[in-house]
Amino acid sequence: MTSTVSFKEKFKQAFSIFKWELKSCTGTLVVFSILAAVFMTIILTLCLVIGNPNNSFLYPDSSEMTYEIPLQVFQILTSGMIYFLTIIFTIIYTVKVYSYLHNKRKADLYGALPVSRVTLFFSKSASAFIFSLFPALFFLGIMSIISICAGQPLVNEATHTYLKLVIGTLSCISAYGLISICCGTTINSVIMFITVCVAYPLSAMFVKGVAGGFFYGSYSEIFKDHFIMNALNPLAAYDGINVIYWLIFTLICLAGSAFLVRKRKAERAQSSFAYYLPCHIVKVLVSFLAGMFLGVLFGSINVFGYGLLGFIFGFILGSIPAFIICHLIFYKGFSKLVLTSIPLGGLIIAVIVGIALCDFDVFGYNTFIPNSDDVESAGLIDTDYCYYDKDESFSSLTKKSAGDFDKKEDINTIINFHQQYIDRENIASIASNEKFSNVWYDILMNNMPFSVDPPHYCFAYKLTNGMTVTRIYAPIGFDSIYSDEYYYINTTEITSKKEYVEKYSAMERADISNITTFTVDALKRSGYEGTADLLPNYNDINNNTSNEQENIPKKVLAALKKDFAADKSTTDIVLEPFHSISSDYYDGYSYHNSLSEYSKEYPDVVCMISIWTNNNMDNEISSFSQIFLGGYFNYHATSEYYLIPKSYTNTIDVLKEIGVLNDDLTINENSAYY
Amino acid sequence: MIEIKNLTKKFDKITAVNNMNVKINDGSVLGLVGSNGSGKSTLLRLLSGVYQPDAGAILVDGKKLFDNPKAKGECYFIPDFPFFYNNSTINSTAFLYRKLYPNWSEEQFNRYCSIFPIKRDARIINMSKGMQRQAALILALSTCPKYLFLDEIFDGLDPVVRHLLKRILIDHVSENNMTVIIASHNLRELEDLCDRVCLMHKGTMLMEREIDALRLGLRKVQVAFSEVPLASNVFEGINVINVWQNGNIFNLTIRGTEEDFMPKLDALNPVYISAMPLTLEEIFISEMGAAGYDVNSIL
Repeated sequence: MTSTVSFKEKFKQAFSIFKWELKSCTGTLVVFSILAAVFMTIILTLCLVIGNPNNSFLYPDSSEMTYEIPLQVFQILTSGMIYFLTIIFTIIYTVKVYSYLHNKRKADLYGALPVSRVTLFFSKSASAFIFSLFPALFFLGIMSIISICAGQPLVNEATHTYLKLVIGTLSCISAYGLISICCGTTINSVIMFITVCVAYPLSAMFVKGVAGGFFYGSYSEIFKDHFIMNALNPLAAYDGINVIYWLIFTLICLAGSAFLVRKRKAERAQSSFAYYLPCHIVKVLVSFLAGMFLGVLFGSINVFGYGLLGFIFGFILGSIPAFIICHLIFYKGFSKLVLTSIPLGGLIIAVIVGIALCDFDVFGYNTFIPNSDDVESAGLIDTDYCYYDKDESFSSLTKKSAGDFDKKEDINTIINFHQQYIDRENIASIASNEKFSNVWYDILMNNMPFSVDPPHYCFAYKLTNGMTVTRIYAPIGFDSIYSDEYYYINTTEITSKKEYVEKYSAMERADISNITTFTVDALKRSGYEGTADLLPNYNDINNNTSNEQENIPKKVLAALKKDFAADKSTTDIVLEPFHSISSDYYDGYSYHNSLSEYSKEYPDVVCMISIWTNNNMDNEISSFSQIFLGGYFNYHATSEYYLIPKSYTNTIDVLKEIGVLNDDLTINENSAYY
Repeated sequence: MIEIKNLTKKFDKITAVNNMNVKINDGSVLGLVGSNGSGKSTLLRLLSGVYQPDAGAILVDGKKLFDNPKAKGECYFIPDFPFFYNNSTINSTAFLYRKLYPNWSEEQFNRYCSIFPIKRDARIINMSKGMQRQAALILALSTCPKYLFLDEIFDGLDPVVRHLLKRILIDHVSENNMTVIIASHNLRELEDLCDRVCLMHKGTMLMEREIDALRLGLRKVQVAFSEVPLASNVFEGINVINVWQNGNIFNLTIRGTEEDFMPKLDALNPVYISAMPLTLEEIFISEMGAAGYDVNSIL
């Protein structure tokens, strides 16, 4: 018996509501515009004045300066300012727009309007999206136009801000909309939104911390920047990562809202809740968080003389009061407290049982090493001898390595290394309280803006039953930061194999742009002389490096790879110094001695090629930190040395061609690279 | 026509409207009267589509009203405390209603803006309570609703504007066959305006009748005796709703016509007898008294 309204009609209605909302938000929009315009002008003025290349006081050597850096700084600061202003104003608009669900008088007004509830909700949401995004995009557009007109393309930080704002705004508004429908008051909605945004990621950190702290070799960095770590925290969408997840999240929130808003009882305005599920989720999350905090704390300080007992005491002490406080806030009293406490009871039992199982290592995770008969193939990565890209995931790299070695002998060697590691690190008998301490360590390390302790030894096994088992060991525990007691295994038996070098060396894996040192050393030499540097230096790059010069390292590397791949007999000669020098490369004396030794031992060798890489481990270190921190967090990850015998004709030919080697295969001391 | 069938609305454990059935014909003015918390405002919110019924149905011209924009386009609801944004003016609110209400009349809008003494571009929120109601009325009448629901509309209006409003509403009803439902405690105003009245108490409808019939059906009678009759059932056979005795004088509220009860009273040999119709307020008090809601029972 209900009559329908055409889509066109619905759109017209929605547009009318949008325009009306626009009128009611005009004041706020004007404030945003004034602030953005003023701040932008201030930033531009400061950047141009302070960064003026003609400012002889600041830049005595002004001939080489341009407006490039000031304009980059202008872009970064302006996009940052608009980013934060937008977040603040989005909160204001969103709370205002959705308050029609919580105010009884507004509910009378909007409920009686001849618009369907879904149309009303979506037009309100669209208003919030557009009011939040349009001014921000407008000012970012102005910033882009200014920069591009001044000849400076947009830096990554600035372009990424567009994406961050769009994704963050969509996710936050849709999430708040859903929460608003579920809540009866604006204050409950705001509290619930904040609680979810804070409690969820912190809870996820504790779960990840427990995995890292209790399960040695699990390497919990697998979830770094993963959507699971912030799944219910829409504010994380402002980071601009996991875009697909946040789009799906937005769609789910909007679909859920459309479903619930139809059935929402208008009389719930000014009641605690219209739907109770989010309330239960928040109460359980907060209780879990408070319980884990106190539990892990008491566990790590060994309350009652045993970590697990301390944890149980702390968890109960933390979770129950947190639950009651949440209940009092949301329900404005004690009503329904007992009835709604069932999830808390379930939570306490589940967590205590779960932690006990982890503590006793019931499933034998920590001590598991497969029987060699059950292993089809195995792999080992010693990160001292492995080049990895900054964006590369250790877990997937390790998983892939499971198929590296399928000879029984190699498998047994890897299993033996694994056993050595477990025995020497005493993993099987780590005290309960130490595991709880490791949870704090794991949380701390995983939340550093850069990687402090990357994994050291990665073991992988492909079992005969088709499963792949990996263990990735990184130093763990606060003692490991300053302690030298970490046990190093001599993995040469595996890492000096040609198959290993082919898969994990910088020579094979690194892009030329990530190579920081690429030199050719004469073996017969006196003192520090006798090295040809193949990479153009910084000044050359900026000024007059020709394309041909830039391509030379690529040519040498390509020739080396070709020779190495074709080498069937002299691999041992080539790889001899791969480990021995790399551990001593700071020691000039040992370095020269090694070279002299090699020249005696391998008379057939012409020279030695050194490849060092500068591997920036950290994904978060952006161009911003590159500019402001001078790339402080970069460090050398690998240093490799290859002896070049006469049989490496491709390499020798290229070195001759570019003038590094003379025709008699000695180093050309007159070469431009020398 | 509005049909209310077995309508029930509950707020947790409280039943605000309980199994209500009523038909309201087009072109009628129905007054909703009742005790505080009797469900009048809830009924209006149900009628305007703000609340969803828990059971039963509201049919407006045969169509269900809840979340039905087309049906709601024919209705307009002015709540007891109408909401306006801080920067809302009559003009800015008209901007929205013009697009949403299919029957919006610019001519009526201009007419009512000139009739009611308020400024179109003034912020409504800064106006007095009565002025705010006038603003709401201007907007409501400009939408030319087929069904107008008013909650305590006379509150805050001065006598002249009250009179003006009644005239406008009566004109609208007679010219456009508009149906008006007014919930109010101001029975004097309803008496002038309504042709029917619905009496509610604790979520149920005690009665729904034409005002004239209601008035004719109840009489306020004063009877004086030279000696007070001794029998306790002295008025037996007469449908007396309420008795108040002061010495030898009895004030009675009697249901029925004078032809019915006068002979019986005469038979008691009173020294003085007079009968007159009740005001709506007196009817309300007597009916509520019959339902157990009177001053004596409260005290």
